[in-house]
Amino acid sequence: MLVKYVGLNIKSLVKNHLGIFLLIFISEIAAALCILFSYGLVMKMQDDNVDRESGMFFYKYSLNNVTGIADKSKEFIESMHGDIKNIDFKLQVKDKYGRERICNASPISGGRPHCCVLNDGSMELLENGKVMICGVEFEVAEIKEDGRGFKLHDGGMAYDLGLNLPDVPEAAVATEIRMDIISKPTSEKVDYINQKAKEIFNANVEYSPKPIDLMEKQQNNTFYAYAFVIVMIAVMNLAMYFRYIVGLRKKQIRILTSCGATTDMVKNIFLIENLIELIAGYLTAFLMFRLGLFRLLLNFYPGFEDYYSVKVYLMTFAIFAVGSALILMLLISPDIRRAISAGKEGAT
Amino acid sequence: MKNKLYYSLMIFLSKPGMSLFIAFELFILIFAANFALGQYNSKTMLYEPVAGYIERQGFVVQEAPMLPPPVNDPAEYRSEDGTVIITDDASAPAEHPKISDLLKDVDVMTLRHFFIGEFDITVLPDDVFDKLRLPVSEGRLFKSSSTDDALRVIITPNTKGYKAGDTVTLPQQTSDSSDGTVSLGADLDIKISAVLTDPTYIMHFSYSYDMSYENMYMNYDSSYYRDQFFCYTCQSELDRCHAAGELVNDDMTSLVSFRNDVSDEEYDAAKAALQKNGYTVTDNSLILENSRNKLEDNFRKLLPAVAVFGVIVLIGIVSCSVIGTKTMLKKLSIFYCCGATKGSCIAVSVGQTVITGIIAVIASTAATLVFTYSRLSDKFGFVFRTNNLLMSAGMILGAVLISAAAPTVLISKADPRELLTETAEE
Repeated sequence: MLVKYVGLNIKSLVKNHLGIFLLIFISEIAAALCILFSYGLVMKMQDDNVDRESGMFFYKYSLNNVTGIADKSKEFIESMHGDIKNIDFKLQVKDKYGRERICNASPISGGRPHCCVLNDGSMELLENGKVMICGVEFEVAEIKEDGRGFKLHDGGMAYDLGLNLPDVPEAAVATEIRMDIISKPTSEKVDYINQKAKEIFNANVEYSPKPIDLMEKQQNNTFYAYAFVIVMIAVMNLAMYFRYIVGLRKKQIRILTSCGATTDMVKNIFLIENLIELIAGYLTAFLMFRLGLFRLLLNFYPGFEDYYSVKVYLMTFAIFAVGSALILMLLISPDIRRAISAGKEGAT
Repeated sequence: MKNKLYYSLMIFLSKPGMSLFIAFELFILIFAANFALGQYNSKTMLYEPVAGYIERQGFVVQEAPMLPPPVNDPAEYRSEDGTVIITDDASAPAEHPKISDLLKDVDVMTLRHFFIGEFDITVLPDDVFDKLRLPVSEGRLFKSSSTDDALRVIITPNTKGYKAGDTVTLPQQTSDSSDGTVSLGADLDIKISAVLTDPTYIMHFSYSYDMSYENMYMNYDSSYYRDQFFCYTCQSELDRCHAAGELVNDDMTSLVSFRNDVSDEEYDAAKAALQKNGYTVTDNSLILENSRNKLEDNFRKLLPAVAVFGVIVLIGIVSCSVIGTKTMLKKLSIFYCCGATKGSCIAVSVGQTVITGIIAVIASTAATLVFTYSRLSDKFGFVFRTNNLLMSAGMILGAVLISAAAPTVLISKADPRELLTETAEE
């Protein structure tokens, strides 16, 4: 019965008030688009803030084919007085065919090379499951299990290679250092670290921590405010339509109540009708977002796609539907009650 | 006309909810758009003060720190009242000849750096300083004209505890002997007029580590610089405080721009003349390009948000005016039956829209004024200019036209008698 009334309501709205129906539908689409867009906007700003904060601790140096990394890195790490969170050296090594390959070296706990991985996917293992680096044979202690590696005793291909720093052969050539420090950098600290890297490795600075940029910070604050206001306005628009429709159906509500319908039944009819419209609106908005707007936004915000998954779409839909239904009920309940009581007074 | 306005007002007052909602949306739109534009205006906070110099053909010229004057009798380089020795002052024993003596028809904007105690002070020409729009967290930016006794400065946030309104008395350092001995001169009062926000920018045109210019926006963050802080002041402030003693330049960077376009040969010759006299010279085009790119990148990110915002508010305004008119139609039909023409009904409806627009304008003007004259505008770097006014006028006009279009169409199509019959039935 309820479904029948809902169907009839939608039919009469389309038939008698097509303009209003279209406006409602467009507003629902706009509200859904706003929620989708605002979600990405807020996520991007949060990510930017995290990047900026973590960027405060990150250093990168290029090296001009430095050898003797094991000893030099020890000296460098000691000069940092325990302030290093991660440090990683990029090495150029030769595989068993004499071809140049890249491997990473970092201070791995346990003191032995722990995994055998080469980033270009072509380091061949020796028959015994060992790798040869600059004439030194290394036993593979651990394999990353992500389907692209190789079986230790069968020989095969490796795609990235990690070495413990003290084990790096003397002849291995280092080309890059990447490092995170633990404490927040000051300009003096940055200068000190750059100077040490220069002294020990003759390193060229590629990236050092920099202070936060004022314009970016201001802009991010503004984006949060915009995202909030956009969603608020969209929801207010919807609320206004719903109230108008209740106003249009005063007569209908009176008839329904005179035929024995309770206030809750009338509310449910409105709620279900609007939920159906909201679902249709969201689906249309989703299609518009995926097929058109999304590509446009990628031009302005590279990496925007990373924030959207099926889970996110479902979550935004839940927020959209539940939020709208709540506001709807909050706003139209008094109107429905008023219409019913006016009807009763009229009958009296 | 009076009657129409009266009826418009009466209709507005009889059921103000919908109109106020439109006014509210319009207010939010105007305020938010002005806020975005105001913030964009502030993006030029360091660019615009020097635009007159950097947008023309020219160079960025750096001068090595001035060494103690190579003289036997330092007194000969002091004026009678013992005022400041500044390196490019014609009377001072500068190592480099004055740029304006080397090149004809050029404008020179010089940034001078001084250390007075722990205060690293950048002195800007008055015209540049007066255009500075850096957001402040305490105090106010001051203008170049002043009768104050102390040397007024704007300071970056700092861990030393210096606040707006503080006056610090410092003994000046004076290099007054050929062997570089530094002695203390007369005391100098430094008054802190404003503290900049954290983070903020330091104006600089110097090289980065790879000997390239990045842009003129050097980031400053007190947690990064810790005990190091910077101050800005203007040339007239410094001139006024000369009597206090002597100051010695730490270093100088100048923007040199040609008043008229010059040929490549003339440009190269000017560059060579500066280099020959010990200046480090670089074209200003790269720093200009980088600074502009930085501003444009920031603005580009803002565009989609403003566009989405505009669309949603536009939909809101259109639908509000449609619904508002539909609600109003019954009242208008009574006017019609009492002898009013359809044109009069439309005028009454448009009058109501105009009243709504006026309310939105009053609200947004009040909000903008409060924002501009409170500390909020400084905190967000909001700068109100003519472009804000033009944009607001355009938006209000557009919104009123859109709002007026819906009633015009609906009233022209509606049949007042039918509407009245419906009302009577209800």
